[in-house]
Amino acid sequence: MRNVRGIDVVYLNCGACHIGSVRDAPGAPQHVYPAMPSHQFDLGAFGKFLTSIPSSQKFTGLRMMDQIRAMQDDPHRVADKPDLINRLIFQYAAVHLMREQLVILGDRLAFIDTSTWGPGRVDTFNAPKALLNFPMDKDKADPKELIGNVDFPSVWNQKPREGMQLHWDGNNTSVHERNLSAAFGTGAYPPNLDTPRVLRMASYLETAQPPPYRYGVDRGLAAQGAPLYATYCAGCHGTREPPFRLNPPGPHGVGTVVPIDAIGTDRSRLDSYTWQLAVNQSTLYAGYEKEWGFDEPYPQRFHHFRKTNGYANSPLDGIWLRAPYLHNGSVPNLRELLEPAAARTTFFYRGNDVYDRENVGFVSNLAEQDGHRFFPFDTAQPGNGNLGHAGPAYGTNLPAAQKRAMLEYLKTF
Amino acid sequence: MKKLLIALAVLIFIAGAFFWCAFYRVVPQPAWISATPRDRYFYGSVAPGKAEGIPYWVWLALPRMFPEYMPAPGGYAALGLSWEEGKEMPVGFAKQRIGFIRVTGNCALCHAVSGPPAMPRGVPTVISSIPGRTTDLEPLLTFYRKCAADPRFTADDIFGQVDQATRLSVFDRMLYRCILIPRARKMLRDPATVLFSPEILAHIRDPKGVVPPVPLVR
Repeated sequence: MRNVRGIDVVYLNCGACHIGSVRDAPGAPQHVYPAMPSHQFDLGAFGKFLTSIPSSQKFTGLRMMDQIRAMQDDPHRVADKPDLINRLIFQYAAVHLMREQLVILGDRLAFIDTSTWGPGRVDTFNAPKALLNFPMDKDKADPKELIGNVDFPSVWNQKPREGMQLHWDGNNTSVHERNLSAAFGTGAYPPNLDTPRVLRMASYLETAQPPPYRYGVDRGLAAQGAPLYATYCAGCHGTREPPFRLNPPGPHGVGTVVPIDAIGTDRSRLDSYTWQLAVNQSTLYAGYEKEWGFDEPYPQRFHHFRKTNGYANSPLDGIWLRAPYLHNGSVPNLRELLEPAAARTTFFYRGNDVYDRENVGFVSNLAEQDGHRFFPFDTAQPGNGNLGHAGPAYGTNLPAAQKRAMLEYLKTF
Repeated sequence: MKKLLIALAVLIFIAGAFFWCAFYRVVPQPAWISATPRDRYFYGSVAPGKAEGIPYWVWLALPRMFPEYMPAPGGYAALGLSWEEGKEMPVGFAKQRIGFIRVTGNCALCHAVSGPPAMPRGVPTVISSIPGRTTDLEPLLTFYRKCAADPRFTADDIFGQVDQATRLSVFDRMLYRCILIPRARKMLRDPATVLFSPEILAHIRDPKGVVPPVPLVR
């Protein structure tokens, strides 16, 4: 919440998508972890709620004031009680201004099917196409580029990630630019960017650490898993601790892109990001560069975005909190990720924050719990494919006991 | 009386200097553009001053303002222009401050082409020049003509886009509102004359007869 031109306004910050929750059992208290993916937050549903407001007859200044009056004496409220001027603004202007903005937002984002996201997911790179006002009508846009649904990532340990290929398809190697791009997606345009506060968050995330596994690790078993990790995983995912990079780096060292034909995972997200978008992103923050008379080294015009041909292998820090797995969240838990693709669950539920210690992930087999309905995830739907990251090189053919040891070792990340 | 005349002269001088700064002061392009022949060919300005150019912020705003006149998603890249990743301008567009920051076309706008990408759905490779092959500028020029004919080509509508990209100074805002935007609109009804100098226009009309007298690549 902040005060803009005399009115308290509320909108999302980084934490909306990058603070997650964990419960030890149904009904147990929620543990909240900053920089963890918000696997339980349905951004698509939130967007749908916002963009449905302007067409509601209930959205009028009078009703808004009735509601404000009903709530203004609540001892828990954080906003000041509106004074006369604010009351007049709310009643006669704010609703109209907000309706106009919401209609524009809804219209621009209309080509993105947010109902396919479910909790913990977002279509990252169709949003900037909307914000750059590309014509996305059915007769102009390629349908293969319209689904780019991915899991929210964890955002701790950002300093060692500088120079790695960031985003799921590895399209940018600059942490700062990646941050500003994420901010752009939520409506922070160059002229209204709150530079000091964005930098404050960035500096916090540079050294933010994932919390250790909550439920105890079998150290002996984990020690057996370590050499298996070194053989099968470290070549791509690097070491357990920062700076993550192996010395010498493997052929697909951590923070680089593995070609789509090799990794074999769902290609929708890769195809949703196009070189046409990449070059247009290079005009963002234009006019802020040194050579044109702006001396501040930050922000700078974007110049790191590149179209890639695969998915980037990221460090696995805090991997126990990053379920479901793969870029599109199509594998419910870590145990299944070590199974051959054909043995993985093809239908499960997302959004439950009760931890599944057996499978290392979140409980994914319940449609409903304590009156809360979870999101049905079908891997047969476009963009949801759960194939790939499988085969002898990925350790999915190892004997069960060795997989158990590997899983135990991964809990220590 | 004498004092008044001196004051008047000083005023006229200041106004003149201001006017010169706003319209004629030539600032060299950034050093990286002239550092390599390739970049100079792709992004270097030719014959500055002879082509009026499109005011930079208008140039940036138009594709975002008029997506309905775009054949596909992708801004200027959707109009068939070559565009290298990481670069602010498509190939063949030179950005330079001559008074105000303006965009003009150079030789590469026609004489650089995009080859097929190395991988499917990948990035096209930009090739400096191929005999007998030029970029079709018709989509670009048609786009500009349609923009100029649209009643929304006004300062207020353009600022609606520009204000999402940068914060213009009060002076720039006045300059754009009162002079640059109306003038750009008038000239974009014939977009070729805004982008190219008279020599290059003559060359476009008669490619074999007139070769531009500008040294492009050393």
